[in-house]
Amino acid sequence: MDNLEQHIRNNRAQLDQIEAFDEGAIWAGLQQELTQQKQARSGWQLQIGRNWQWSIAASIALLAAAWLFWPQPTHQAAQGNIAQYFPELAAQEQAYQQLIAQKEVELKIEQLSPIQFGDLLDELQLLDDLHEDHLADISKFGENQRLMQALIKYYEHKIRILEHISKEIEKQKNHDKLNHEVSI
Amino acid sequence: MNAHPRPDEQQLIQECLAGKQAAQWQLYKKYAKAMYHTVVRMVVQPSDAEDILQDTFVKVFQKLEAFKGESTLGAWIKRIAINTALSHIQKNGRIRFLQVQEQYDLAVPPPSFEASSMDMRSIHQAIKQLPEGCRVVFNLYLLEGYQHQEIAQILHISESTSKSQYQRARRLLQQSLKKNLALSG
Repeated sequence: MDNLEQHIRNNRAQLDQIEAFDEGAIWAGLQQELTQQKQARSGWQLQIGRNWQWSIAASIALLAAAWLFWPQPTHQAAQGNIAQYFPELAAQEQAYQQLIAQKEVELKIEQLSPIQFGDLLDELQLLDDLHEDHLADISKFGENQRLMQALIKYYEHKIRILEHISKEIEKQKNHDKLNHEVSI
Repeated sequence: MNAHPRPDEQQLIQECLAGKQAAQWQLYKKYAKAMYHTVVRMVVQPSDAEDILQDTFVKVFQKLEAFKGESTLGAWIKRIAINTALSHIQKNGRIRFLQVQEQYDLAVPPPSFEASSMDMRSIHQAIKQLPEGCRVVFNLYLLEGYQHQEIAQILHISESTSKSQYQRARRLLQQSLKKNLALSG
């Protein structure tokens, strides 16, 4: 290491004090963006909260419609998020989406206890957020293999978490059953 | 390896996660200046650096729950800032690395140079004037503590390219600072 490198390393902290920048404007922009994202996420939940009877009725109607339409094969590949950028993955994505939707209905995901499954539900939320980031990255930086793999992995991770939840529910059921038998 | 955030960081993180704006401001205030300088030395333009800083902290607050304390909070935020800056640089194509004339640039020892009297402001400005590729390598290696192997992986270059770009940056920096010294003295 020469004396310039040594000098820079010795005074490294000073290098972070040189330029002035508009700290307040960046903070304001940051808060605005966070608020917008929060509103976009909670909008759907708020609507449900205010009209819960209608929401239940709508959910039942939605489930009925899903039950009616699921088994029928579709001739046109659904244009999922990844398929917009990588058409060759349309069929794979459609299969994953169907499997995930099916599992979410089986698990009654909306009714799961946040106390019992909070960590796993948070992980699903984090996955969805990362997925959104990756999709935004495609529109920003163009398509590439690494992003494509990350997008497909999202579905695989999500299915694994849903399977994990399913096993936990099964375990709980067996545990309850055993306790019931013992008490009899 | 530490598996939990430090106690003083833990409190701040919990309050940020609870959505307390005062805590978010405290965290932002604590790290914004260092992150801004790290980023501006990589992208040069202040307006770009400000956009990247905002994106960085949006990511920080979105993903804070995922921070498990494997590093310090500052190091975790810096990694996000550097990755965001690199994505910004790469969005218009790969980083441009000017070819190093190895026989000249690497075999000849750098001119002797007394740096201890150099003020850090001149060094900061001289770093920003380096060509893009070697500037990024120089920042990552000398200022951010990355190893050449790591830089090679991040920038999709070979380890030897990282090393030669670093040497090139070092030489150009010395030349530029010497020139400034001669002009001012």
